[in-house]
Amino acid sequence: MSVILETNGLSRRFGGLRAVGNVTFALQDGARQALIGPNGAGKTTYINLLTGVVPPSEGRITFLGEDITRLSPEARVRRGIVRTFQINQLFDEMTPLEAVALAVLERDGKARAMWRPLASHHEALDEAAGLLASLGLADAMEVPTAEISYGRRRLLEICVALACRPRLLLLDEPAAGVPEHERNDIMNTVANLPRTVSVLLIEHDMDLVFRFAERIAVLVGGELLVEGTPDEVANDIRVKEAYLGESLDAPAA
Amino acid sequence: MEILFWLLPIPLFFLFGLRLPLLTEIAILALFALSLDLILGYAGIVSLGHAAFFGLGAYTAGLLAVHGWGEPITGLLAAGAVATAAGFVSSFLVLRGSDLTRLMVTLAISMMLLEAANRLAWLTGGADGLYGVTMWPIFGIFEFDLYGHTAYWYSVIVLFISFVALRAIVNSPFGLALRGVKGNPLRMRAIGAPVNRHLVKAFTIGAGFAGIAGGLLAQATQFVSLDVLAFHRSAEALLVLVIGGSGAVYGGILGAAAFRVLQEWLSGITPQYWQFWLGAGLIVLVLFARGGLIGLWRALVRRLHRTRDEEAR
Repeated sequence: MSVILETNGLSRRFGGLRAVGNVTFALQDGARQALIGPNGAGKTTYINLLTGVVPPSEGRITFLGEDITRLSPEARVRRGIVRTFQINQLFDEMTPLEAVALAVLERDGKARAMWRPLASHHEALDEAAGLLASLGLADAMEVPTAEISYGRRRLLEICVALACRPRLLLLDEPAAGVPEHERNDIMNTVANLPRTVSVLLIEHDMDLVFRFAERIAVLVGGELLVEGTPDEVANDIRVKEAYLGESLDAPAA
Repeated sequence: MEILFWLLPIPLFFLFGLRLPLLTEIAILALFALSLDLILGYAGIVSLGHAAFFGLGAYTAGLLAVHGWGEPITGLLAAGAVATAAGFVSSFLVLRGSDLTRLMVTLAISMMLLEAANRLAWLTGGADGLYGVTMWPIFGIFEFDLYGHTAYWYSVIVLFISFVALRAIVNSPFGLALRGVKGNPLRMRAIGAPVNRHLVKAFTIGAGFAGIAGGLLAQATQFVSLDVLAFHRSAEALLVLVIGGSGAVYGGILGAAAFRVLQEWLSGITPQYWQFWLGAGLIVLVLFARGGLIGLWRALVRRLHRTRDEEAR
């Protein structure tokens, strides 16, 4: 396997606070990697550095062999780094079909087209409908986004990201706040993502982390504490200390 | 339904033959409001200075006619072109800031233009206005007559063509992208959308159509005064969108008609206090019909559909 994403000595300071410090980390192509850490460990800042919303104080980011440290967020999305949000960032005034079609059109550079009506862009609409159907949202396609259940809106959040055709998908707590009976849909969707998409999962729910991840990175105090297989991480004494008694055991089932 | 709506100007012409200047004004105000709606209702850019582009268009068309080029169609296109260029340049200033900054910057631009037009009296006629705007017949055939027949039809047709163009834009993928930018700019950036480029484009196009509306006023009334750049004109377009409903192409037209008719009617009964009643009406509208007239219409259609569905069951 080859490396898809690499960060070298990546740091970010906010005034006197070092949110991310000297993180050197490589993500394999097709990875199922989780990024965990207690609150305030710098996970969100690390994601913002990867997507380009926040510029680094030091260090380098390489994606598919290209130095992208100075690239704009939009350019990174076009190269295939796409994220979802911990708090839904959807278009409440649109239907899911419109939202996903919009992502498809932006990806193909067709969203600047002004004269042909949207309804005549069949390829984009068909692709959007297919994507929604593959996540089990076929029946919600034309329902106003604000009227679908929270769990399904979480799925839509992932669907919009997938429409950008990511090479690397950054999932920020996809199951956050999802009620028990809708949790499985999210977990299955995440588990069934094709291997052509590398996944970096940021999650507090250890159940989901240990079911999904093949490797886990632990961020504490802005630094990369441990990186390894779930077993290695679960048995690491430093990780246990960092979580101060929070159980990190793999679920019994 | 829509065909019927666009046939309305014909009976109106015969019913209100003596009030044609008012109807012409409504068409021009509607076009001006539509151009603001693209910026405000679809792209979500707040503006208090949309009159800047209206005024630029009016002076462009007026000055061309005064200086020997009275051909209306090319004059109108020139008005649109000048406003488009100004819109493009100023968009970079306007789009820099947050909503509050945008209000200030748009207001400042229109006030600067107003002051410039006032000072450059040798060019614009200053406070006296620009006299001597003489239009050639449209296509060399239709003379602008004293009764305003030609001006009326000319304005209605320009409104219709602009309406068709603007509606095509808002129904296109670009229109969807604008709704996306207005609805959630954070997510738009996260799907790799060139948010700023979309906004620049919308602002530029909106400015261009405002210029056409301004040019239309200059040509139809054969006169341009500083009034075309005044703050109250920007505010009027906003009011029209509040009344008619923003983010809906028919909102601007319905709003313009309702606003001007109401204004005529109220100033007829209470010449001194009509603004009070207009204000009171607006408050009622904002309290009970936030989507404006278009919102009311949609609610009505929805209710009709529901009762029909229930009867079918």
